[in-house]
Amino acid sequence: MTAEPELITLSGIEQSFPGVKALQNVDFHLRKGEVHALLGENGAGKSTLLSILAGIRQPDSGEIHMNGDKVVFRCPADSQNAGVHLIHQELQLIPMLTAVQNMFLAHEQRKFKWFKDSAAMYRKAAELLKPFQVDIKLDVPVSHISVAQRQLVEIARAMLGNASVIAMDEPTSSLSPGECENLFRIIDDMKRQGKGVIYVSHRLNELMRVSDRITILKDGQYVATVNTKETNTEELIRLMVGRDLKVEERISSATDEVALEASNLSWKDMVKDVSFTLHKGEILGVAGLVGAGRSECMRLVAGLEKPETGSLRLRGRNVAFSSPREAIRAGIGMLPEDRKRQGIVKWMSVIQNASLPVLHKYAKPLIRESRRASDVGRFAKAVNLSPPDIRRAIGKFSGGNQQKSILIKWLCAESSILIFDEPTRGIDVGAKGEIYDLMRTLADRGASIILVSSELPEILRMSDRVMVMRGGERTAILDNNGLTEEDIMKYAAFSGEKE
Amino acid sequence: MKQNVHLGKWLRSGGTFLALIIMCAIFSTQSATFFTSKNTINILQASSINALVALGMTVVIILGSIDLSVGSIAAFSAVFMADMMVNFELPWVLCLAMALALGVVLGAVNAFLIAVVKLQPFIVTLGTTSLYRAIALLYTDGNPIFNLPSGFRTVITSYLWGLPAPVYFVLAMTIITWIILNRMPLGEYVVATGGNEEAATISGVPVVRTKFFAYCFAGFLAALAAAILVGRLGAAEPIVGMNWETTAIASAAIGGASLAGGRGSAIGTILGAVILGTLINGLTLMNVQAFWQLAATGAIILIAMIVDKVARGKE
Repeated sequence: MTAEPELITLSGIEQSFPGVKALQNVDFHLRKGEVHALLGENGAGKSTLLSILAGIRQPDSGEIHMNGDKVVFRCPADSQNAGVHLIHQELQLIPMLTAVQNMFLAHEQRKFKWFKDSAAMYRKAAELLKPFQVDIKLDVPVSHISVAQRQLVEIARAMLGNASVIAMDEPTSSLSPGECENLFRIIDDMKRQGKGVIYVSHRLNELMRVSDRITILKDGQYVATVNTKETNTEELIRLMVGRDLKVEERISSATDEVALEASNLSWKDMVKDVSFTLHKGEILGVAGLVGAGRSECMRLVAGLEKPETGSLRLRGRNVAFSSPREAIRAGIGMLPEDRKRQGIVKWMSVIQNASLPVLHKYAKPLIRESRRASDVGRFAKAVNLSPPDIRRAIGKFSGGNQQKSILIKWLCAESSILIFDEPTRGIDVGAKGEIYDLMRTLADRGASIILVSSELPEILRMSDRVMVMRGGERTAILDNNGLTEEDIMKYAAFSGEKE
Repeated sequence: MKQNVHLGKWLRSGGTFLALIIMCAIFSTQSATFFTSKNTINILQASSINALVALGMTVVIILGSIDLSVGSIAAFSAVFMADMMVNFELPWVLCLAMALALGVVLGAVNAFLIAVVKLQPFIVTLGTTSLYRAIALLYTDGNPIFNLPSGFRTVITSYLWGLPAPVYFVLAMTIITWIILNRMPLGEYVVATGGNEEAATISGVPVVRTKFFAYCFAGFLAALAAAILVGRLGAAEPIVGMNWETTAIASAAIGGASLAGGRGSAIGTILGAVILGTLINGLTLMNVQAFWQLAATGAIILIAMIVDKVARGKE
């Protein structure tokens, strides 16, 4: 009996970035006519593996084989020409172009060599979309059609390129249940045509429904491949997150005094009726998957957006912020998720960045440079800024020190409520520890801290209580008493489980 | 007090200054009359109008924005001021004040459309350029206004310690601009907003107020420059100010301002204005045809940008 060569095999894939091993000796096998899911936490290495598959990155070592032959993808075009098509979570369609134009981009059908054959392209597009059984307007810009329809256009584009391997990254994140079912039906069709589908998603129910096998990655390493029929969601969660938990003594400084009370906050479609309380001296962890609405919710607290419904009470008094300035004056400081884009003014010095919220304090009416420098210098020492040159442009510091500089800003502003949004993202282990210590010290001194993080160990290490969000809603508020990552994941990943 | 962040800026200005010295050295070998006190005064006098406009433009550019309407603001406020002086016979000091106030108001209109209605700065100021110019033309039926009061003219054309009055205006406004940008919160807000508007907002910078300041300041300086020109010429024409924005932007760019925002300096811009003024003056003394002068101006701007890119590339 001859074994049919696998559709695509990745073996021994290694990929390192400065300071982090994204993938270590990872294998992935995809058969013809199979739906193979890729599962893992944020940071497990799924996106990196997909980028390697799509030719966006080259692995440090390891090989890719298609149908038994070794292949090398030096660029996305190589991968696409070989029949591998990646559909990103954020669809790669050009909003101003129509469905037909998008589908044929760079591969237009031609008439007399120089001219586009629009009629032929239209016909072909309609033919490819027919099996999807959805009425899609082909001649309007894709920004005018729904996300579900856009996704189908992407899939049709893949079919056009005679893709034999289609990888989908979180395909259902913006789909209604009906649209999901339609997508699954199309995936079944693809299976029947002998194509291979790689399905990346956090929605365990979906994986159980649509996949044949599931490969789990954790911390860049291959954990296991299981047959979907032989497993269940509990086992999947255990494989995903189970790790040796170093139980650290966490001394809580939370008091009973309520510092902030959020009631029924709603904003667009991303925050739905979220309520929570924050106590003085407490660290409230906010867990959830990407897209759960955590950062959006905190933007409401920090005055960056106005909640559509709901209210905020600060120390017993109702507040409504019409600008971040007001929130800052009320004592709230935010360390944003994307340091580079939202947190720092690259070319300005640490002194300048740190004094922005309270500049008026130093202006009499000209800025008292020496006062400012000494205040900032004091806090720079307290957070152990390295190198301690506060006159240096902030963009020249390492990620960890940039984060500390942002913290200096709120120390100068004497903020009593601090929101840390993914504070240790992209920061090396040593600096992480320092940030944790600083958080601890601040809480001990009476500050109230909200910690939004996708790293469950971080949440468990620092939080007194944990609020879990999913799809814009609050699904649980848990006391951190012997809490495990599985407990949190249950409320973050499952569809339907709410406290 | 020098700060490390500003060291880069001093280096950049130093380089610009060096370029100016070299240019002067070259010109003095080509023309005997170049390196005389009279000619130097000519250069300063001729550059002063643009220098004032360029200072205002610098603030807007550091903000990460642009103002194409400065020339038209100049035209409108010039004819308005002249009208008040000649036809209404109000005291010239009052008329000057009113013209400056008009410049501020016209700038505020720009700011409103950009900061509150949130339209694109390029498009807004493109629109107001035409609008303000049209108002100036309609106001005077396209005709110039003559017979400005001698009191006003005397002040503008007077000399103090051998230097013409406009130079002192430029000096004063340069110092004021420098103080605002480097020593006042408002200036830091401008730099922060231009450097990273989102981060500035999260840090509590009053972004809307800052944008209003930048555009009103640019409008004020445009009006001031127009007033000085009117004083020198003795007449206010509604077609004054054509292409002022181009020369102003060029001066700021040569002086180290980045059109992406967040970087720029008052001193640098003045150097840029002087370089442009010196270039035109030197080439004229060498009897170079006007069209070549235009080419030289364009070349200088491009060279300055390339040097800037190469120097910044090392950062």
